Amino acid sequence: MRLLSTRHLKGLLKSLSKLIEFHDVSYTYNKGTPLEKKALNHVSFSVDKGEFLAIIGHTGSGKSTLIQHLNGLLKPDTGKIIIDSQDTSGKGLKQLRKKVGIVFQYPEHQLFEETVYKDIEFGLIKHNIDEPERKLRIQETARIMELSDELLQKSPYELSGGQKRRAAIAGILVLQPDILVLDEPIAGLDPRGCNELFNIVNNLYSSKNITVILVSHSMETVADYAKRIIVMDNGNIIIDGNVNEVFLKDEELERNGLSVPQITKLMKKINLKNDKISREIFTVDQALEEIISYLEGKHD
Amino acid sequence: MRAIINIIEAFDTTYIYQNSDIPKKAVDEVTLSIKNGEYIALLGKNGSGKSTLARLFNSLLLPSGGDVIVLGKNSKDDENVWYIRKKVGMIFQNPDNQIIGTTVIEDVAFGPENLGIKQEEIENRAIKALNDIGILDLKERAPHMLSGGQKQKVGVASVLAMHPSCIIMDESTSMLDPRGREELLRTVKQLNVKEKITIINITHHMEEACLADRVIIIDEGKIVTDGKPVKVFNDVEKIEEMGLDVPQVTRLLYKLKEKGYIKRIDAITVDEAFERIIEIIE
Repeated sequence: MRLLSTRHLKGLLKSLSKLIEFHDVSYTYNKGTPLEKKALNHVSFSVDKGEFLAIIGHTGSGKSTLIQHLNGLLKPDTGKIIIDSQDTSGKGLKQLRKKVGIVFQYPEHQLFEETVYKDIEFGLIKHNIDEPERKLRIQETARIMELSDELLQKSPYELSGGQKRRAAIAGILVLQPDILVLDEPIAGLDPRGCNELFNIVNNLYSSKNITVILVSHSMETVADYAKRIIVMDNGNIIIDGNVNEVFLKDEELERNGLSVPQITKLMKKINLKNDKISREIFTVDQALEEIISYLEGKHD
Repeated sequence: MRAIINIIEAFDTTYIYQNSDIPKKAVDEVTLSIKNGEYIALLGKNGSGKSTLARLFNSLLLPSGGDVIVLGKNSKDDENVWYIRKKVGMIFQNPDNQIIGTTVIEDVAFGPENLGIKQEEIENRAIKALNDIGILDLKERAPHMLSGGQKQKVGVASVLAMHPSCIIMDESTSMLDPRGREELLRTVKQLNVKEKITIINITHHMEEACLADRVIIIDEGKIVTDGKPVKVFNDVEKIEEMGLDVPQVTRLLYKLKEKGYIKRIDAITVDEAFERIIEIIE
């Protein structure tokens, strides 16, 4: 009897910590027309507070449709979505959008104010945040996103590609979302811009306990930063697991138009020649450590 | 007649954007020649001038100083502009911005139509281009309903129907998923090998740059590196200084070298890195 109640309690606690819950969600575009396309097909999954989740899948697999459901831009045809105990089909969209910040592809195309400062301020005004609080938040966010005071006073058009991207993301972060969703955040950025952006996101993730959902075609980026990966195909979740579990299924990923990091391909090849060296390697640092530890005779 | 060996030549080419407050040399006295049939990766951080240089190559922009000569013709002469645009085709980053037709075949036929070619010849060219790219089955489809990778292939077919000597890809793979990227690159490689079409691929993807015969890096409007990919990418410190990156396998070998486990890197692909690692673990 006591055993049962403990288990019950644990289950209850677990469901309380769920930040995002998808229950049997389906969505079809252009329903009832010749262009009808089922984009989500009975999708169920949940995300805990503080996860760093990547969603991967080929073009048209349903990733973008899925993330647009996170802040009520799209609502499920059937099924239910609960974000932080709020049903996205119900009222309180404004509240929901404060909680879930989505950075869409090429967010800098949406910069439109005279100065970067005003652009970041725009969302705060829409959410009726008063002036002193706005100022504080913008300063804090600018510091995190590495946007100097001088830069804040410039027109968005004078910024470099990487700076524009960071300014656009600042406009989302300033609303202090619990969930940050990034849809292909590095497309068009040079390698240094990518690294800078992800170092910032990773810092936010570890210091602010923010939940991050990353949609990306770069398997290297996913392996470097995410902890869990959901793989989508044809509106279904076909794999859901931690980085190791997912990237070990290289053949299944390739059948689905995806890939594994280049370093993982190398380590698999080495492992086939010498099985004392592990193939469960997904980042350059892991590979370095594995090879050195083998060379230093720690594998015998 | 002397055969033209260089498809593109730039002599002290400078380009200044006049509309900004402080006129800045986006391209700064570049001298460069590209041989017919070369496969080039053009790299550089955001704002380095690489897209401007590419637009000078197909006379979308004309130099503020110096000359650009394409197939022996100077882009400064008005009568050469259309010839150069026909011979140097360009595919952009966002496939949605370059779709015009309501069907794929219409879209591909659009370019040759503008050249004043006979209707029958236009159709033949469009069908041949689609066939060469391997998407003839998409011919009657609506372009906007295709995947990103398919749209970019339609873009290549449209350029191909103009019978170009050179194709420039301006970050054309950056929005594609891994398979879309791989297929587009394979298609382009085939055009390079079989049809001897010169390829200039502008990219931020370093593994992709390794597929080229020659890598050119531009920084602040000037060419700072020009050489074979393996040589260019093995200078890891210089690449990082430029705000760029190296393939993961090269980074691994660089770190092993830093720690004294290997003497040379000499690898940019999985197979080459495999050889290097096997040398030290056997």
